[in-house]
Amino acid sequence: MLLDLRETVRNSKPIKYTLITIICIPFVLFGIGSYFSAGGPGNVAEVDGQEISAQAFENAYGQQRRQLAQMFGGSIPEGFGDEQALRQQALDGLVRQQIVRNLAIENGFTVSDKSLASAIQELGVFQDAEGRFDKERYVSQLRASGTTVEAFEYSYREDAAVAQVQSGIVQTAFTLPSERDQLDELTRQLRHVDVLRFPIDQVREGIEVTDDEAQSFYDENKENYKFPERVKIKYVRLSAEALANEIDVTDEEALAYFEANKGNYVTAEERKASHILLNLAEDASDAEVEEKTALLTSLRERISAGESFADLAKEFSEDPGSAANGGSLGQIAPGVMVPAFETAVFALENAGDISEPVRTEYGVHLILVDEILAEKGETFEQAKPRVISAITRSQAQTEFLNLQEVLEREAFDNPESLQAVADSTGLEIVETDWIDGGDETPFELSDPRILQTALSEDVKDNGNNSDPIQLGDNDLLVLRTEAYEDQRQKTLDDVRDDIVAEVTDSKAGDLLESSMKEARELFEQGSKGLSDIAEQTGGTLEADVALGRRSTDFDPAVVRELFELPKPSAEEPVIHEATLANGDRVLMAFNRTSTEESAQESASSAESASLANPIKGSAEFSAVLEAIQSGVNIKVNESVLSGENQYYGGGGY
Amino acid sequence: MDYETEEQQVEALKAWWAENGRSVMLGVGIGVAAIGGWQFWGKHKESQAREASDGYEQTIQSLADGGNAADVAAKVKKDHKNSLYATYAALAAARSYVEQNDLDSAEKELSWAVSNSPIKEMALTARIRLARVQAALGKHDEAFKSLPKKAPESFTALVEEVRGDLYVATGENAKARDAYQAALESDQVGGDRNGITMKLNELASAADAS
Repeated sequence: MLLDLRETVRNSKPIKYTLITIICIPFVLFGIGSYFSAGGPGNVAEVDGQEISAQAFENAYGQQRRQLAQMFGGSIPEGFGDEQALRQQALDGLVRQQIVRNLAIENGFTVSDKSLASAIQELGVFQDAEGRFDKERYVSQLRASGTTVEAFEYSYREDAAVAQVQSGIVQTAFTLPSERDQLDELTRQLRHVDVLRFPIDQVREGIEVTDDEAQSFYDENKENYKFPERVKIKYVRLSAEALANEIDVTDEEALAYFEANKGNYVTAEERKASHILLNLAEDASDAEVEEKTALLTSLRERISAGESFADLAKEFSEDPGSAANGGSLGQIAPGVMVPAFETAVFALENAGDISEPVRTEYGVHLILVDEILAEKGETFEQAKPRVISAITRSQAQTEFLNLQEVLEREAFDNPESLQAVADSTGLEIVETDWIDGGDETPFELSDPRILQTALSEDVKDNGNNSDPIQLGDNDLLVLRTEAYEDQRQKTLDDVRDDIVAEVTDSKAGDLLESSMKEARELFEQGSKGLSDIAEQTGGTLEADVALGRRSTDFDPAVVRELFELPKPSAEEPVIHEATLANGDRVLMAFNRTSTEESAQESASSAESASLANPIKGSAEFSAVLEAIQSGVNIKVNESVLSGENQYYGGGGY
Repeated sequence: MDYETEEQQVEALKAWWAENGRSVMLGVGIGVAAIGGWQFWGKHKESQAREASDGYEQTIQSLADGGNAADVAAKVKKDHKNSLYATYAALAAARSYVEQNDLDSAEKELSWAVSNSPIKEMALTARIRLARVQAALGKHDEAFKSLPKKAPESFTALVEEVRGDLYVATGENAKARDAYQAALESDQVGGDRNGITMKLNELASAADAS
């Protein structure tokens, strides 16, 4: 059938030409590019057909890790923030961004040239010292960061449009005056209570705990009194810091390092110079060169005779940049000028000396040294301590890396002992006494991963060397468990003090409870308030205490309970019993509420305060996004998400 | 059907052109016109969008400066009625009226946003704001009607808090408690959790009494 088709096409000219024309048109109109646009496996997800690239995902994920690491001061703690969860979070963020982006596109959001221009002109990076927009700086800054003006403006415009989608909800959210007043009043509410307090200290004093009581309490709670499991370990520790202490640096080494890295300690000599330039093409003939050189030589003689270099530069120099300033080029650091010029400048001995005519690719120069700025910085003796520590650090680092490799290999190849590791690295095997992770564990072994590893099945039961534990930057430890002891029962004598305290508290609690009960009964027998019964019950009365929601005068948990109580009527208070954190019991009578005077002059300032409520606006916007998200078609490329396939691997959706 | 000579080929080509030339030219003509039209349409849409965008930017700016955003917003609403920019302009105008304590006008702007928003989630947001303004105006029945009967899960906290406030205003404290409770239990307490808790606690006595 295909053959038939081929024959037909070949034999019919109209069909043949029509086909060719049809095929040509799209190429002419759209170019070849559109046939090759990317898609597929290089993406982590598609949101309503819009792709999120694997690269953008890896960037977002990397940034998230860095931020997290920064929060913990450098490195993310082991086991914190599961990698997959972090990756998922990074993806969720990108998906939301993409949804907002799609909203911007579907609704034709854009930004006019005018506001784009004014927004860009306000960016600090593109402004000169006086804060004016500098077009040249704009172009050069962009070029330096590897983008073009067109690309930058395109993406800036897109970002601005995306920001509008959000600002339309967030910036327009408001609080109504009535809502503000209501919340304000609630926040400033005070609740007035009479408090009858039964302090635990008072009853504690008279309580005795007999040996029998202690014994029976111990017997009942035996399970809770155990020493934790513990281990004796042997370990080898490799740290760059310890290595550094072993390194001696000779003065010769230090001096050599100082000379080789002089730039770190010393600013090189610089010179201020002026010149008179006569332009010449690079391929100028000898005759031309000679003519110009002769002119300069005559100028040089006139200067020697007393004329001013600057005046002659103004008159003769053909360097448009410097002639008007008397030929001055300002400060010249090494490596800035063309070599021939630089050699001539630095060859002159004193300030005020003038060179012979010098030929460069620009022409012929006559050079005057205006000023010699001597090299600045530290002498070798001054810099020596820093030089030595730099050398030590770098040697220790190198040695650490070498030994690390040896240590990892030997520990793995000889799992039944640390001797091989010690022999091949020269590190010492350290034996410890019992450690259980408690207060008596030596500081250098306090990292919880050490005990954890010592108790792990492979190390404790199988008797193997552990994997190296990374304790810090350039700090490793390999251990093996020498002895293990399971939890042991504590004797009564080990825990007698604790038990006495606990039994005392429990007895005191019972005593307080009966006082409370008595007080409550008395109160319910018809007294008007707690003040009537305080004396009879032996509690201490604190009358009419006004507590705010954030009051710190009282146990915060009890304050919270107080604010959850129903409100009292005019005749009858609301009664509440509570236990304070220190063990005191209180009976509270909640009598009335009032409103705290605001600290600031709220009346006038609240009137003028804006009713904008961007916090509510953000909540509204995220509700909007989440609702839209649930209706959007999202495809995820699992292999990219999980990180198995970071760069353009296969694997469909 | 091979050709013997070049002349024969030229002849054949000419004959084909005589026969089909007209339709080819017509086709090309239509194509060019279509592309031109499409580009013109695109440019037109683009310039419309930029005009709407400028109007919206001015509205937001005037809002930030404390001016009357409603005037600028009116033009965007009129010229670009079906665009999301117009919805946003109306929302901005509403806030501007709230700042001026002109709640009747704020209500009108929000109603306009509810009926003209091209995106239903934005309309929903406007609805909740509308209900709050109506509640403040004492129009409780209208406010209850403005609140959506059913809303996506992510809106629960926002909607139920307003519903609770409304029930408090109409003295139905038990229902108000349920509403606040629902707001606090939703996955996203979008509003102010602390504020809702305070309002809920405030109802404790009334509920016990009833």
